[in-house]
Amino acid sequence: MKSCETVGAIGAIELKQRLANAIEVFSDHVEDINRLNVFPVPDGDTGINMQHTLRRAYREIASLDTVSVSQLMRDFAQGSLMGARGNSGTIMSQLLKGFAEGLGNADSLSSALLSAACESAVERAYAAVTKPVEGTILTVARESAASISRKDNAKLDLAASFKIMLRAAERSLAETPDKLPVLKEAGFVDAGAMGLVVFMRGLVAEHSTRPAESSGRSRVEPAMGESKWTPEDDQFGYDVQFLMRGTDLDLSGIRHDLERMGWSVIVVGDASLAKVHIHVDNPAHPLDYAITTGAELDDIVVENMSAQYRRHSASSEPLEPASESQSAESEYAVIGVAQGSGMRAIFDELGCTETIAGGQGRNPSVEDFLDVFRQISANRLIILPNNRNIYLSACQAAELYDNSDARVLQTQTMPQGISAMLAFGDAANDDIAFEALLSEMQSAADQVISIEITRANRSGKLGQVDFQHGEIIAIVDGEIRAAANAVDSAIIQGFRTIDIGIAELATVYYGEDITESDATQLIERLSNALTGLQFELIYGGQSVYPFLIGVE
Amino acid sequence: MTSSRFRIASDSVCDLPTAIVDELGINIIPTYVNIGEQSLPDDGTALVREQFYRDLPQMRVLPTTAAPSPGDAESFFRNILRHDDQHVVSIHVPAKLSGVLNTMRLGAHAVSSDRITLVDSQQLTLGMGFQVWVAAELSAAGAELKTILATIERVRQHTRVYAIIDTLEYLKRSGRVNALMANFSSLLRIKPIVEVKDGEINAMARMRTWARAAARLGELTRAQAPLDRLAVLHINNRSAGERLLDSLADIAPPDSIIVEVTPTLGTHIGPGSIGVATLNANWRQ
Repeated sequence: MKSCETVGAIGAIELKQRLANAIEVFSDHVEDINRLNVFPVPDGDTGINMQHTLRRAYREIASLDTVSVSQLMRDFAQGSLMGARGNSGTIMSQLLKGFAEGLGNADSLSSALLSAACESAVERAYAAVTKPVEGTILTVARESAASISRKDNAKLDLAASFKIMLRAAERSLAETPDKLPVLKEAGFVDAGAMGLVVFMRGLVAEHSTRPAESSGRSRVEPAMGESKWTPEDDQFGYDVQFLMRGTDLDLSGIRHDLERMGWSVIVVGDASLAKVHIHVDNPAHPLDYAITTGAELDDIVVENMSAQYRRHSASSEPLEPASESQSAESEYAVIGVAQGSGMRAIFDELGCTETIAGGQGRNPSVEDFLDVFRQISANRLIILPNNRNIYLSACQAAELYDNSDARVLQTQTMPQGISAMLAFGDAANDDIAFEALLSEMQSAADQVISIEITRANRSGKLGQVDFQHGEIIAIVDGEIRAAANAVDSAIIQGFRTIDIGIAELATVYYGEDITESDATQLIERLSNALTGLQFELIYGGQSVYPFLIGVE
Repeated sequence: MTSSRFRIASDSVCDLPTAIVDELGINIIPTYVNIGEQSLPDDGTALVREQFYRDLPQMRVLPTTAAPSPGDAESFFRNILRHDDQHVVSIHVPAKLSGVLNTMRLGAHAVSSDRITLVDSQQLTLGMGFQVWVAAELSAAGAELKTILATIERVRQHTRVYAIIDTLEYLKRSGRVNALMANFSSLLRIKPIVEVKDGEINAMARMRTWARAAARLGELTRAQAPLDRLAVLHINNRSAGERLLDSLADIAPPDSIIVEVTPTLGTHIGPGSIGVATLNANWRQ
């Protein structure tokens, strides 16, 4: 592609170096991005999802040496498609795929090619989303691509084009709250958009070292301690979870200290009981630390993520032994994503062939989905993501999977997924057409109103609701409808905002931190307050949301 | 009626109203419900269904059900076959679900096997009742045995029986429906819709609310129109049965009936349940 050669074009080796740098910079900001969660819920995971997507992409090119930039980006994009997690991760992977397509067979990257590739990236990403929302990663991608689309840009030095693009991206990011009201209310820029900008900063930086901490920051706080990860590093470390019991636990202090030891830190709870989740290289560090605070530890779970990863990637060795039901080829199989031991048991019992552990803060990647798909011999696969942020990566996995017809239903919560499963069990016995089965399952899911109860992790206002840090909030079908000091009143106020005249049954799934007797007493009080409605109490074992309620 | 050569007999699980039984001279042998030490025949006198179902939720030990004894069956047939030229077509609850057909066979052997034709209805309540009802009409019109048996088969093919089970509690307490239970989640409160077909009770839908289950039952019934006969079934829930029948007014034949089903079945299904038995008009073609 000599015809496209311009001043300052870069080759594959330099681009690879820049990608490595970009991922390193990104890793420094994972927690900042996680925190940009429009909901005041401690489950922000955009940063970790995008990071996973990018790291997986890099693994694909880690050993490449002398190739063209087009080959490099094709492999990088392919890796990102497999590693895509969460909605932003999935859109990121589509941007990369489109970018690679736009490069054609080019050997090196010039300004003109950059412009063409960015245009192709934007086109591909918009096409991947059913209803593109402005004020998100899509907008930043589009506006930054547009900034270098003018003809005279082709004459520019590549470094100059990069700078123009990054400036446009930063501006676009700062404007996201003006385009998306929910961001304005929350007082945030969009998390996915922030992720893209951080990645671009690392990519564009003149020296392939970390940019100065003060440069070009948006309004978020500086990153936590050093990231232990480098792109050359193929380690995944350990996933450590435990409970801390004490009398005076300082959650934000604990979180701050833990963030120096690893990544993906989640600390939730109160002064007497905290649930800790962290990814580290050495599991002894967070445990030692927790003990020295004087807290008593419980429910310690350490998982070797590298070993898990190796098991996943060894295709000859399935993740779990195939169960009897899978050994014979069946017509349909359902794969559900569920979080909490009780929830997973329900999905299993209702006939899910495989239940993937995942949900808030733990979104399965495209690759995770594909690994599960490959273990199932069925002509048709139905996927229940059961979470708003898992839908896109599930769709991408379904699209990439060729061995059978894989389809994703729009189940946004686990109670919706449970209703879809009931409809599946009924219809799959009949000789029902696949499309009819899908539509029965979808309509069963749509008939459920979901109420999610959790504790606000900051103060603010969303929609009509003002909430204070620590208050209990009720999220009804994805919208905050009530905030109160007590669980009872939050739930009751949440119910008051829906038409319960037609509702008959409220199924209350209680989470891992709630005792059965507390849950039972709550149900008794709710029954008295909301007459005419039947309540059913079920152990869900989910985290983050003490109560999930399906109303139908 | 009694002058016709072929007499039609059944057991009390057929749930035919007394008026029809009397008018067509149908012979019904009662099945039994055992409550504690007592064994009560389901004959409308010793055991009153309304009272039984009102008491059922308070019974600490679930009643059991029993087929008539071989001795009962023998005297039942002897009683019918008083005249030398007569023959009985005796239609019963499915052998897969009950021992009735077996004791009727023992009774028939003791009397005169070649004068008694036993039929496994493969159905329950009015699903069986329609076969008995039409057979009795044919017999009164002087039809031959071959015609009667072929018609019973045709009626069976055009019959559907569906029910909503209000609570799984009674199925859980009863041993004989484990296979049915296997399809349901023990974790969730479910109102299953079941179908009686080929002598079995099968779950066909798992609904979580009564309103949706009732709507589905209505749809299933409508899919069977045009109807020759319709029976709305209930267990201590006449008002829900009446609402269902009202909602089906445009397809319900004028002689549609509402029936409280036999305790032989209802003991296992439990109060609150409603259902339908339909006979599609095409059976006549």
